[in-house]
Amino acid sequence: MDIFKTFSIKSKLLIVYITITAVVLASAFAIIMRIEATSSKASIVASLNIVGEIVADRGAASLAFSDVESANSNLRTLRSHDSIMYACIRTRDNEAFAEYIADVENIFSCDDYDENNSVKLSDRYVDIYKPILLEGQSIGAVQIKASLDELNKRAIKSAKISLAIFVSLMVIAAVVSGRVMNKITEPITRLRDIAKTVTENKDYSLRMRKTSTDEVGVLVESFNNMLDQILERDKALIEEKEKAELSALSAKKHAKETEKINIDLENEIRERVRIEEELQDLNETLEEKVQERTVELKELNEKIGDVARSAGMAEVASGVLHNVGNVLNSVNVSTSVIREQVRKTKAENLTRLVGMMDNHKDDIAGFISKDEKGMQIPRFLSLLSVQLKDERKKMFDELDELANNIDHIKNVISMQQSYAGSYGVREKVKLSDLVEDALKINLQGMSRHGIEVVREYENVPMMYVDKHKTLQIIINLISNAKHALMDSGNEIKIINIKVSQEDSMASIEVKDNGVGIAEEDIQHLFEYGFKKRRDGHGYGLHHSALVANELGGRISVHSDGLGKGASFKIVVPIDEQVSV
Amino acid sequence: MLRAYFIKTIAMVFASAMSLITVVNADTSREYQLKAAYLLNFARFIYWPGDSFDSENDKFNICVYGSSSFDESLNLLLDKKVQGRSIQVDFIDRLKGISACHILFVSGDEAEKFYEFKMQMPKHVLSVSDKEGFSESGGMIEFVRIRNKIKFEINVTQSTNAGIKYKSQLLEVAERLR
Repeated sequence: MDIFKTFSIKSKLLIVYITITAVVLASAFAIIMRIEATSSKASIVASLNIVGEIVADRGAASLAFSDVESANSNLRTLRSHDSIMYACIRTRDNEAFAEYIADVENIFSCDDYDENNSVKLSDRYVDIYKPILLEGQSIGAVQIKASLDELNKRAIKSAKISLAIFVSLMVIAAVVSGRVMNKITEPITRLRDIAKTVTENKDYSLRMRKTSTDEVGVLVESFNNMLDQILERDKALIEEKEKAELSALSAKKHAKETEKINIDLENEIRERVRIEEELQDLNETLEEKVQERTVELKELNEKIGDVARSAGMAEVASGVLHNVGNVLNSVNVSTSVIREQVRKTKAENLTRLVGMMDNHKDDIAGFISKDEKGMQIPRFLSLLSVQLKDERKKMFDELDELANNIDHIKNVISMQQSYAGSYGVREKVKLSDLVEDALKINLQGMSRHGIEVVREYENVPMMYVDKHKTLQIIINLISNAKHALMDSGNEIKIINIKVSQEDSMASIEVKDNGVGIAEEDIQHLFEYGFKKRRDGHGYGLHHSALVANELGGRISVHSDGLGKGASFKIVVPIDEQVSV
Repeated sequence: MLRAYFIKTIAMVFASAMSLITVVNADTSREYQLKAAYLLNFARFIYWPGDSFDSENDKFNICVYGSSSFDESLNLLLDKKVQGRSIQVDFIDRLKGISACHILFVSGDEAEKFYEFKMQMPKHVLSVSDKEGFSESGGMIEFVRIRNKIKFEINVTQSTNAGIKYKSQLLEVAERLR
């Protein structure tokens, strides 16, 4: 059984199949041969019985009349039967009466007759016994012995043929079952080969094609799935391994670098200590120098502050003057218009009419009703009254405008006066009012250049600021925005001013869609002496930044680049009390 | 020694002679016993038609005509049967009225009388004799002695005329058929 386990499935199946086939076939042949042998013997016995009966019948008279010769001749007729080897007739007293011997080489004896045992079968012979009856009474018996050699020979021959058929059937069965077995075992064998290849070559990319849906098919599918999983795990393992190797390598490298850095550091520390000592020496002398320089710088700074302040004031002043100039221009224009209007007045026509009427003062009624010219006087008068009414309205309008302008000038100047005195003094103000004041100074120029001002004022609480300084900054920013818009040549020019509160900070944002600021310029924008405008003095924004700083706030700028506008934002704390 | 041998020889010759006589006597008795058995066997190998018997209980009659050496030997047949019928042996001294006989044994002495009578023989009566020439002269079965054995000859024609029908086995065993 253990050896059987080492066989391949195909061999096992073949062995089982062949064994079963052999057993079945052999059993079938054995049964058939057995039946044939039995029936052959039965037929021999049957034919011997007939022969025996004939001999017994014929022998009755021979026996009755003790005629041995006729009995012998009777028995001799058995010669025609090759298989009959011996025959004899016995008397009632079991005395041999006549005999027939086919082959002298084999001597047989006449047996006593036993009526209960009329057939005796042995391996090689069959004996049949028949009573010889006369008048229903047994007067003797006939014994006929036939050889079964022929039968046995035939049996052997048929056994040989059967064996030949059996062998050929087995061969056919083996070949056919081999083929059939191949069909069944071939996928298994292939699976085994692939499994072997996979194990030997560690090649998990191999796959087996599924050719059936039976158990083998399922096995193949599971096998392929298993390979997939192995492949995936392998891949993950390799990745992990590579990662581990890589990290090990980098750890090694790091260790080396660290070592090197450590050495370098030690060296550096040593060097530093040395330098520090040197520095300490230098420091002592430096401190004195720095103190000196600080004093110098402070003085300088104060000077610069003064310059800037006066510049700021100048800016406010120039703004005011500019504005006033502009308004004066309008006043001038209005005056000219009025003068022209007065010069061209139709009142002179009235004088002519009066003159005409004077000439006809005797007959005014006749002049008006009959004279050609006089008839037109009523129409002329009504036309004149209309014209005069019109003129009067124009003059009133122009005079209103003039009065307005003069009022504006008065306002600007009074505002300038109100700021002029407040330099360096903190007052409680509303940021939006400051912005409005700043705008007022610039308003005339804005509308002339077609600049639209958009206001967004949030409700920011009143706060204490240096009114004048703050105004300076706002005016500066608005002025910058105005210039940026004018330089841009844009058709739509908008300044967006927003006052808002962010937590504890109030902010004023002045935004324009003008020329914008180049990125490289933004960082220098608040530096002292940086000029963008040809006619600028270069410290407007610098001063604004300083002032914002003084106010405890800051100023910031944002621009998306040239041509994309700019936005300046001042952020000032609301609650903080700032000292200047 | 020689005298003893002589005496012995004489004694043996004598004894032989004596025994021969006994054998001859014994042979005669034995011969008729055999012939009696043969008569029974003849009866058994012949198809007896139904009208051979008057009734169911009719016996099978064996008639012996004339003096013969049968004596007691025929008595051996009395316990035998032919076709289920008991056998009766009648010794008769004249041939008239033999129609009841089934087998008629004619002794040698009376053969001539039988020959004269044969034309009046009723049917279905088997005539048997050991008279030489019996089967040629109108008898049916004649015992003959051949090589010291008792055999018989059958005149089939005569028998057929008398309505006697033999079984083939009997004809096979017959020494001669006429």
